[in-house]
Amino acid sequence: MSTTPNPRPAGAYTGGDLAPRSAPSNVPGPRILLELGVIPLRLILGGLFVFAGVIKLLDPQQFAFSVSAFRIFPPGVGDHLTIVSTFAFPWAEVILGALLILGLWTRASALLTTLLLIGFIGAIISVIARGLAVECGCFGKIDFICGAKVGACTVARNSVMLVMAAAILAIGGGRLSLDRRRSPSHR
Amino acid sequence: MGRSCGARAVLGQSLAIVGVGLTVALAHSWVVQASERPIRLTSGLGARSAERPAATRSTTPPAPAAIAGDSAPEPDQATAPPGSDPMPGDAAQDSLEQGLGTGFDNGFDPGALAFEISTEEAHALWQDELAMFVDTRLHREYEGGHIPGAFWLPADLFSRGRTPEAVNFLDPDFPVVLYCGGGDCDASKNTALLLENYGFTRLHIFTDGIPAWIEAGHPTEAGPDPITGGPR
Repeated sequence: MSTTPNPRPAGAYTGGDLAPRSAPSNVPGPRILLELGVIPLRLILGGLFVFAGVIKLLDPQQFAFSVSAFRIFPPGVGDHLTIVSTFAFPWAEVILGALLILGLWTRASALLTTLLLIGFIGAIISVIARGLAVECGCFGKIDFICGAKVGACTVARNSVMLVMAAAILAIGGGRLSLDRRRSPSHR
Repeated sequence: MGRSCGARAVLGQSLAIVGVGLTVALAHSWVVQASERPIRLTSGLGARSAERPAATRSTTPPAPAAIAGDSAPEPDQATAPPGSDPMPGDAAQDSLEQGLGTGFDNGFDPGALAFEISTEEAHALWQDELAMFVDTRLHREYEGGHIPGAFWLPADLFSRGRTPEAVNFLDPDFPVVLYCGGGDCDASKNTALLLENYGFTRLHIFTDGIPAWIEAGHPTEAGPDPITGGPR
């Protein structure tokens, strides 16, 4: 049984009523609010990523058409890179989405999600700048918020997701995350 | 110190996630590409059409009008009801013979067409009913105006291995002209690639698409797809 040593001698002045004391309050601190607020961000962004990834994996041929339409890869190696991307992006979305939902390796997942979204936004802006009429394929056949064709709305939608990912990156997994269970001091 | 330790952990975890993701993706890609239905891209499209023997290049007039106003086409016409063989046996041979005459009477040889065709060639094929037309744009674009008699058949109707009903109305032995919005639009090539899986070898891409058709003053018709009525 351990005992905590008390350096103060018995009866020593402890400050009493004169000592500055933080007012006891039931109002949660800003840190707690952030840790609670990050939970819906994780669930929404993670859920969207898992959904988008699964839809693409169910029909890789259609997603390959979408990747090809962006004309990002140079001729020659383009076909190989397109096929690798056809599988790499959806799997990245599923894995990152699942990690965000679980709150496992949250900051790393949020960092990669941020980088992925920056890449997506860059690709979309490049398509708009080149005047290509491309169907996004971001959520398969489902027009989530924006129409099928890529445009300003697609950039705005991805930017909102980028802000969410950046917020998770800054705050961490917060409450109800596996990171917190593994290491309570983990932020 | 603690902050740099945390950053190092995040970096390590990020690399681990990338490693796992890439491994899974490459394994999945290898399995799919080794399967019977690998991912195909449009860069190799048209090679099969170009290889077809010259003797079978002539065509027969399609009957797109049969479907345009009625979703149940006559069995003796060039179209066939969904679920049945598009042009079985004798009917196909008769049509081929008819087509031989029709194709060359006006000096226009549809068999000599390249894989990608011009507005004039597309119009000649349409006017003489020497090919079936397929619109591969979004349904709302098709509904707004399409080449009269064209079927609506975007690539996403083939998703998850489904066979769109319109495929049953097309004949693999007839030339099929696919178009979309022109310019850099890939939709017609995507559908052509998928039609090749059904044995279609006489596919042509009307490269400049509907904008050039309208600009040339050729007729269009509006209305929903008569087969599906639009996206479900």
